[in-house]
Amino acid sequence: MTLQEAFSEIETTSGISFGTAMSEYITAAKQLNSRQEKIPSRTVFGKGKHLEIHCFKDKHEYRLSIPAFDAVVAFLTINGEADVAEDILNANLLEAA
Amino acid sequence: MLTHYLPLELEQLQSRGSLADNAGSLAGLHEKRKETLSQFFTPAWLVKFIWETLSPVFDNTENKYSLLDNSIGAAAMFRYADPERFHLYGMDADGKLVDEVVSILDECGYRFDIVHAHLETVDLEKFSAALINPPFSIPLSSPFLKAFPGITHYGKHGPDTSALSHEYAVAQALSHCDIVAAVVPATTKHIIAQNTAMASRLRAVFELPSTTFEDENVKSVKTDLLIFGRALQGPAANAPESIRVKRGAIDENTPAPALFQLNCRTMEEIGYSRHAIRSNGIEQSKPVITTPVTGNNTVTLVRAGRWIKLQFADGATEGKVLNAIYRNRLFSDYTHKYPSKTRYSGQFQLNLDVIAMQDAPFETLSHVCDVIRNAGGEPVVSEQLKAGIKAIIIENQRMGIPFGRTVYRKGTTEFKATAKRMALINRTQKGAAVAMGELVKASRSESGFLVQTGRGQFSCEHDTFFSLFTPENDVLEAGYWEEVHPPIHRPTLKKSRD
Repeated sequence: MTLQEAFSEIETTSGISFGTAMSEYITAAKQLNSRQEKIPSRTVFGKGKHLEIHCFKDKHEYRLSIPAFDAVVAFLTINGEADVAEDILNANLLEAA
Repeated sequence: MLTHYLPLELEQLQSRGSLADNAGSLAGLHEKRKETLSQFFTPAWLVKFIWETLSPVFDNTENKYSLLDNSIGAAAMFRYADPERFHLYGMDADGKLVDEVVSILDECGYRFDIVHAHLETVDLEKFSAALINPPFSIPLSSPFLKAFPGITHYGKHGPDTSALSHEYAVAQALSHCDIVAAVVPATTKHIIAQNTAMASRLRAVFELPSTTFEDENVKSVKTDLLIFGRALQGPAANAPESIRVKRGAIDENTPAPALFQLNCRTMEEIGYSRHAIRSNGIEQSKPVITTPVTGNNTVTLVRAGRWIKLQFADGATEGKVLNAIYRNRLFSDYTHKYPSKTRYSGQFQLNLDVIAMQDAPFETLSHVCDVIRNAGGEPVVSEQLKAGIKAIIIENQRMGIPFGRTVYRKGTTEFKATAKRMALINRTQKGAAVAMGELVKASRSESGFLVQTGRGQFSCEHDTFFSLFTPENDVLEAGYWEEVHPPIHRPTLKKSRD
């Protein structure tokens, strides 16, 4: 299952829409070539939606809103390894979200 | 722009003069004075003219002023007095009219002191201004007249015991007020001119139309409106009379003129007096204590409603005991108003509710007995009073028991519900997630619900639960009563010490 498919599944069951960030991000990645090897720094995909992807020089950040984060954790709790969801919560990522 | 503040009911009161036969002239007025008490109300246009002329004096809306009318009638002179800013004082010889005016003003939020008294039998304090239309030409004769040179004359009670009503009213107002506006017979200005002190305070002489009192059944009478200010000081005192005193004829259409150096003190500057108008002369009130003096100093305490009633066998004991219990009279004043039935500082010693609410009610009662004993009485507490106090103590204890709280809740205490979507039930419990369409068991808890899922039991807040789950249909229609706070069981009521 790709990340996009996983997000799509979460959207269906949780009723939250992550927006177009992921598809825009994939489209931008596909357009990279030898002349433009990186997505320009400080590019933001899906601004103001439940999922924002922020591209910097050396990292790409996935920023989830609180309801979206809850939905992801719930999805992991139900479908994934229970410990993974717990690790995420214990890492205090909720506050970061 | 003036605002009419007085209630219209006052306008509907009719003067004795307007109800009498036509007087025709000033001489005719004199003939009718016994019947009418020379009571003729001031026409509305003239009152308006007076207020428009004086309004610059009362411009500062922060200040409060006291107004006097020593022959108040239907209080028409105070038509434009804002109840927030003016304290009204007045007296009148017509007791029935005074009662009517007082009852009407009482309902309109005015602060006022209006008494049934004659001009010649009162002692007055100071006031900001007087607006008067005194009775004309009634001969006053009283040993209590205040001496005013040129106004009071030798009478049957000796020097300065006789005067004409309108002249005395003006002199009286002038000696107690900073500003005086007086509607008087036209001859009065000549009397004023002969009195240097009064003449120096004169600011305006306005001749009124001879038909001014036509509505009051007087077809023709020559009258003036005289306006006086405070005594002038410094260079202003030497101003020529043509500048100092405005003269001329006025009618309904005359605009209000500006007058020379017109000002008055506020109530704060004058000082508030509880007895601004005091009646002198013979005391008309009836004695309070009529019990005969018998020498029997027994005082029986009985219950009368929520109060202790004292029964006396001796008038002297009654006086001494009541003085000791009541201590002193309480008066409402400008800054503090007591309830109408709170008259004495010690009166609540006799209140059964007050006694019943003490830690030791019967000790409090014995304290009351001590007060009576110290004043020379021999208290005897009736059994009926003791039983009454006990009953009130029980009544108060019963009233102190709080109500319980029982609420009607929709649903049942335990039911099944279906998750509307995948979500976290709460963030603090491990595995507290629910899948879309998952069937759970819910039971009510203090903070909301306990939700039993396949992963365990989790607590869920009330609002969150209903946003995540749909209860079964039959649960939605059900309901039950829940006792949130049970009533405190009726305690064994304390037996009061006898």
